[in-house]
Amino acid sequence: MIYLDNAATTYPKPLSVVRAAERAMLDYGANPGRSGHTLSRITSEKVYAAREACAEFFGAEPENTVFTLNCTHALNFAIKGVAANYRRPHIITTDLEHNAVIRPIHALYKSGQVSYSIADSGICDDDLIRSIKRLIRPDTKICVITAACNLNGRTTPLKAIARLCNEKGICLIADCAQAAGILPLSLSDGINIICAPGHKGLYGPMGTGLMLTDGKYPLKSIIEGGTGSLSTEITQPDFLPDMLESGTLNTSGVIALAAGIRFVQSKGIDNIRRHEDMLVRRAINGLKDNPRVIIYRNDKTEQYLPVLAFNISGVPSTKAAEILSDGGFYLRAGYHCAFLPHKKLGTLSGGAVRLAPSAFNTASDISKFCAYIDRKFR
Amino acid sequence: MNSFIILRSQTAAMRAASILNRASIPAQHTKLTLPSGCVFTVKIKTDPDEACRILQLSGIKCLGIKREDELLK
Repeated sequence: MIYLDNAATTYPKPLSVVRAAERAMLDYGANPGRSGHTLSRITSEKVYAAREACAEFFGAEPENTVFTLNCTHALNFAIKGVAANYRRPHIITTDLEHNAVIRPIHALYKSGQVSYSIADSGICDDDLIRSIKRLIRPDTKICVITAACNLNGRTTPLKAIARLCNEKGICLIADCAQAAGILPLSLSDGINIICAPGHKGLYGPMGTGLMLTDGKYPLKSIIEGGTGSLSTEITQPDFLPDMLESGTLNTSGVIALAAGIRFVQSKGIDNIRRHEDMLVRRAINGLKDNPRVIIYRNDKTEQYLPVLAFNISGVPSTKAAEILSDGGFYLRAGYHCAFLPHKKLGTLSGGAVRLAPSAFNTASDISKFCAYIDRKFR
Repeated sequence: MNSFIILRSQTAAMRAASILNRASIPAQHTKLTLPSGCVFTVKIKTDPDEACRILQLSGIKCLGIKREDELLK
């Protein structure tokens, strides 16, 4: 079996992550922040250590680091939480976004709470920046942008967009679903809120995510409940992380997520990126001479994370993925919860197949994959 | 005599304990139940005003101080 669906979730997870989750459940399984007994205190210390590790990784303060269920959950907190501070603010997003960005924005629009515009990413970073500049209005308060498109890995010029947003007093929310653990990302780059999944490039378990803020833009809660703090008050605490962490945390998950971050740090983000880039280049070289393979890349003007979108001419993407699965190659086909990028690539009629390696894949995996494609589809 | 410095959240209490321990002030985060509700604190044996001063320098606001004998009343 060769797993190449790491943009959906990384698999396998490092053994250190598995062991961290196991220890959390076996050795310190009390509820952190609820009870005052010793086991609860020890669990709280482990959760805090995990929070510190996540905060440090993204240049945030521990108190501004919120554990979420996934990146979608984090994006909902960020987009709806910031928007609630304004009267019908204008939001700018892009045509590279996942549904986790466009659906919350559109839902706010449908209920009359925001207006929004979609920037055209064109064929290079400058096109995207120009488009965003054109769309900025006096009532633009939020810009939500992916660090890298989940369909084909195209990156965005986040630092330049951050400078622009900072100048105009616009809150920049970055969807780092595909980029966290592959690109160095920090709030010190001028991003106001980073949203990231724990289970992709950070190698944590599914059911974990992060929202990290620099604190410049206040947030409002969209879920209320028990936080362990201010328990005799009827209103939700207005401070982070409690305001956004109602209910019991996924303790074993966040502790294992910190182990995943330590794994990434021990390998080195740049080394992981180089390794995965090498694998994707190898795949492109192995596929490019096959006349039936259509690769969705424009390396001349665009930059990409190590993700490759392709199709086989005359074969629906889901059928191609099924044939690959029969051969032991696991890739995701279809629309990848991202209709905007598919529309941009012209693949809205049948989707595409996505190859996404991880730190655990090898050059041999890719060679076998290319040979299988050649055998089945030439 | 132990003192309890009241902080607004568990995360703040954990961070406060970490800062005080690094400043050679032994501190342990503790959850207390007061008549006004549950609070997160750091328990210390030394001068709480000095500890609060150190915490405030790190941007952590101390919401109050309780001595152990007050809690027993």
